[in-house]
Amino acid sequence: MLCVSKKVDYALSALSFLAVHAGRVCSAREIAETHNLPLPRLMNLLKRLHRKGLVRSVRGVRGGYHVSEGLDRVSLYELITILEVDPAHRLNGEAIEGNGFGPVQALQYRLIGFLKSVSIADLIVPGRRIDVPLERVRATKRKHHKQQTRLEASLQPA
Amino acid sequence: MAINLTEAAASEIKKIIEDQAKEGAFKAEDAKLRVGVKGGGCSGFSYMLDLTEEPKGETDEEMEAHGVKILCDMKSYLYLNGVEIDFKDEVMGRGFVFKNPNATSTCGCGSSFQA
Repeated sequence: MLCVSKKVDYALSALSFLAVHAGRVCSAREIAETHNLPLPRLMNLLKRLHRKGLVRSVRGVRGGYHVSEGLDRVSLYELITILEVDPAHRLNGEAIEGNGFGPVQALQYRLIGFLKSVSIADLIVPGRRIDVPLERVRATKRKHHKQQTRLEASLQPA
Repeated sequence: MAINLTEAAASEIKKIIEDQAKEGAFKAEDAKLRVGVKGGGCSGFSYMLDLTEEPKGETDEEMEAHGVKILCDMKSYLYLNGVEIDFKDEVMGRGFVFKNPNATSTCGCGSSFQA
């Protein structure tokens, strides 16, 4: 099943923190504490993001990271590739160009196209990112309604 | 200053209300949108949208935007007064975006803020 891994989730959280605090250097510890992330794992992720130019680092006692410009031009697909493996390989356990079943390959191309169409900036910039997914509004009500129905049922005389 | 919905957000909320009413969750004419903030986000608060038919409570602010009745408890209202809620339907998903002039620092997890 295709889903966003913890690694990608942590990286997006860190990038978002840096984007919100653009203009100042933020330490890995500060990001880890704010987001309740494991510091060693976060440091490894930040090193990888730094190597690929998504964040810049500042050495020294007051050192840390700040976000690079141009995250509009970096896709979710590229981020996954930086942190894990090429999604084209991951989707089917082998290269998409392999001798796979046609309809599944078509589906894979569609999924890859989707990952390439989402920019990192769309996921992290306040005012652009989605704060409450549509499904969350529905789900909350349904759950509440079920609970209410159960309560009403329990109050009915036997 | 109040809580405002864009026309797109109001239209989407009305659709959800109609769907929920058809399922028998409540009467469409009684439905209200409860807007709030709750603890638990990594920076302290995260936004909450819920549909309810409960009447306005003693500690609620009540308002209306584009035909949608809105409830907000006083505590949340401190952080949400002046907020505009928009609806986005884009490739990365469908949902509501809060443009909050009170948020001094929006958190990275995408669901919370500090004020």
